[in-house]
Amino acid sequence: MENNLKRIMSDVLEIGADQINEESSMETIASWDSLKHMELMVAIEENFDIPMLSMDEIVEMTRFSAIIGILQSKKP
Amino acid sequence: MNGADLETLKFNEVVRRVHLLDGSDGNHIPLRIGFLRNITVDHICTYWKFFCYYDNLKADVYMGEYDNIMQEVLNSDSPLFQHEPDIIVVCLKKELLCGELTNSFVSLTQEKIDSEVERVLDTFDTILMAIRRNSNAVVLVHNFEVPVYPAYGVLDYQERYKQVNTFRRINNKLLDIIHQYKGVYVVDIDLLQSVLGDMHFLDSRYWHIGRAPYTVSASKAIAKEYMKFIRALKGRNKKCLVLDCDNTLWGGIVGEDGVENIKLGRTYPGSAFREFQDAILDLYHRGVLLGICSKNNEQDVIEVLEKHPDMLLKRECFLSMKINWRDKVSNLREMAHELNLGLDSFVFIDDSEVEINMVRKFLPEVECILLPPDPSQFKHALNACGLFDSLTFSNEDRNRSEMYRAEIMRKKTASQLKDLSIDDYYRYLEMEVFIKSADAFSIPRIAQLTQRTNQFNLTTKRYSESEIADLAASSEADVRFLRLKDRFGDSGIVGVAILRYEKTKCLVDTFLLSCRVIGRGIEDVLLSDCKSVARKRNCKEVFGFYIATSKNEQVESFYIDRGFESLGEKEVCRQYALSLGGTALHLPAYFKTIKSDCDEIAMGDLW
Repeated sequence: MENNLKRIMSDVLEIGADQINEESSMETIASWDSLKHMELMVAIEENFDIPMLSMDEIVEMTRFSAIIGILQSKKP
Repeated sequence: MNGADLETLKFNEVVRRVHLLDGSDGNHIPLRIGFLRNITVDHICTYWKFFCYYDNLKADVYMGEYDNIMQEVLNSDSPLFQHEPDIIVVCLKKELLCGELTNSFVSLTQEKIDSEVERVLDTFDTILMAIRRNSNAVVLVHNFEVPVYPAYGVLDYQERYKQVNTFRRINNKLLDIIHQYKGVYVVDIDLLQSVLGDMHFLDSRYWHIGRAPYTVSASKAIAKEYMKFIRALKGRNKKCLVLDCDNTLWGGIVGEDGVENIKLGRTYPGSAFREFQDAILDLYHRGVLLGICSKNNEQDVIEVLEKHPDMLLKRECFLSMKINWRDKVSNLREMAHELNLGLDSFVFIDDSEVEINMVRKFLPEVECILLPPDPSQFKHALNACGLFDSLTFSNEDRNRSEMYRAEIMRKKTASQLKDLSIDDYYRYLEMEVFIKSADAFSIPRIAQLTQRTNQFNLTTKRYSESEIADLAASSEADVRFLRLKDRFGDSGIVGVAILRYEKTKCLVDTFLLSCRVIGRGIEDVLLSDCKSVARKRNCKEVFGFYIATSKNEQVESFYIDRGFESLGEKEVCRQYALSLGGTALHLPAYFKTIKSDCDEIAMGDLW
């Protein structure tokens, strides 16, 4: 899941996958702005087989660790 | 990247590809785009760029500020106009443009509803008027999604003045507004919503978080719709549809099952194939040329075409049939040669993945549609492609197959009469040429020829109907068209010349011939007419231009061959001049009649 997420983030945020780690967040990645955030969430929903994210979850998922946490909590 | 990628790639993969292509200096043709919007449309834009790359275009997008449309269009120095867009998209979401009509309809009085409708329509009118003052860009205007859960429930759609029909009224009146301007088209967002369904079209989560209303599927569908306009405007729409037979036009294998046992009829399972044929027949009536390319015994297929009562596509619908056991790649190549069309004008449909992949591999310029496994989906696969869409429709379209058939007859006759000299053959054709200035009847066809003609086209400038109408009405230009008839039939309007005047100079802005009539000396008649028209306006010189494309090499030396002097090249445009004092062009003597409404060259009957 982590590697998959890194690949998606690398595609959408237009940076190398090696620049993404557990600590990555909207604060640490310059290209991760609010527009890119929506694109990232759309891509995550398309790639992971999970129930629909809620508005609150989308707004919370602004750190790599938070994304992993929410994805895991939503796994069947 | 091939056609299948457009459907299957996930959003992040599309973003990555666009990013990579943005950074490459491939040989793409630039397309300058301006977005005027009151919402977030970046997803749409990503898909649009992606589709553009597939069509060898590089989209250079200027994204207007949120809800800053009036400032952008009213100021002729705004970043939008500085961007010099070829295309401007106007995307206004009803929630923000007319929030009350959208969200609190029940509390509104009739007067308030009417005044809101007027205000909305006036807004569009003001925007379009201002754009037209500052730019010739093609404008694509989004209409409104009609609400799917209307304010008064089932009562709502009983009445004209409740919510649903109010939005329908706005959408209809929007048409009256855009028709006042040239080069403005509606993108029917409401229709796209119906296709996908509201649940798959709008995503309230991203609407509330970031004013991004559309789902990924909707963004893709909207971008695809833009591409239909781009292809039509750039003359990239397809002209010829080539079909397989077994399990495509009918179910089963005719060679094994027999004509009476193939699946084709009014009930299951044959009705799916009949419905598919209906859709193909519609394209045929719109002027799309049809061909068959199938591995069968020719006699079996002919028998189906001639005898099967539910075969809607008759033998005469098909301009070319390659029914044999050879590979389809060679057959398609031959067909393109016979019809004198580029392979990039072809769409090929087959139910076999092997055949489709082979054509994709060896003829990548042919657009391929692999039919889905279930015949009930065939019609949808064809209708959804939008590859044949055009922004005009003329009588020539209705009769296009007839005209091509006459051309094939001419070629056949030519080979039978091979002992005749070529001049004798042309004389045998009894060609009659009529040249006139554009009028209301001819304008749609003239615009269409500028949009579709690639080979015999000196400058490949594309014009819309309203642009042609403006040129025809202008005192600074003449739009001349040429009609051709011969013993095999009326070819209709097949040649166009657009002349612009600068003092005593006559500039040949456009000079083209339909590929059906190339090589019969018709171009000399048209050029002669241009010179006469120019002389009549007291011009001293005629200037010709040649802009090279990948398709128009055959006319590279057109002006030089006709005595023009080369003036060298300015950017991509080669320039030529001819003094009008010189001797008249020698016209071939094999035309039966040449008539022009320009008195000076009423050359009359040359026989």
